[in-house]
Amino acid sequence: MISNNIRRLRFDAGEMTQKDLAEKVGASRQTIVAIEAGKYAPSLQLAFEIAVAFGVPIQDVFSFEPS
Amino acid sequence: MFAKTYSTSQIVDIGRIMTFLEINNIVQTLRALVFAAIYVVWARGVSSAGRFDGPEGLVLLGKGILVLIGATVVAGIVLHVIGMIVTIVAGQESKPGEMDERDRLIDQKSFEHGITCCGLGLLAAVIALWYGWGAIWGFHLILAGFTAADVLASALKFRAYLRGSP
Repeated sequence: MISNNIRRLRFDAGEMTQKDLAEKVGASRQTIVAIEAGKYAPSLQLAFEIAVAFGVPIQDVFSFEPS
Repeated sequence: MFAKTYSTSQIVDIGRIMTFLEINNIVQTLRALVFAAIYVVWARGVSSAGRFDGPEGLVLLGKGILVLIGATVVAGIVLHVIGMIVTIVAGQESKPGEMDERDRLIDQKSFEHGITCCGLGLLAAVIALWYGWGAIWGFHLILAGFTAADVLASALKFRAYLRGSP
């Protein structure tokens, strides 16, 4: 299972909105909502882009727990 | 009795909540259903008048299908443009027609199911011909397969957008 810290990272980044993050990574706000809620697992490229948007390594954004 | 009218502000609100792709998906599903209903009514009328009988029946059916395809394409384009205007007026943050990777995945998966439905329609048509149902029924079944594919693909997209994942 893939979990993420996007909500916390957005908070740490000065309450960055989902819309702002979506614009930075070139996705729709609805996609960011789905990723944040754990409903959609992004591609590797989008996952890296999200990490770059926050300026952190990818493992700080996403974590994987084998089921 | 069931008709409900929406004010301009209510339509704008819908455009604000839903993305262009979500609105367009619902509208195009309704378009497919309306044209399928028109086709069924027309085909029943022509069939009951006995105009599908004989070699002229296939010519009439061909003309009817061509007119229907043309009208469907025009209606699709008009509804697409109206959807774009509504989402722009509503100030929707996603640009009309813009797709990201999740949209493309949803589109691809629903398309794959739609293609299967088309194939089933074609298979049903071939089986119908095998059992001697006649070419007219073969065409009806192929068209039914296309319509079912269109509606199924849209329904799957709608479900995917509701739950957030393809």
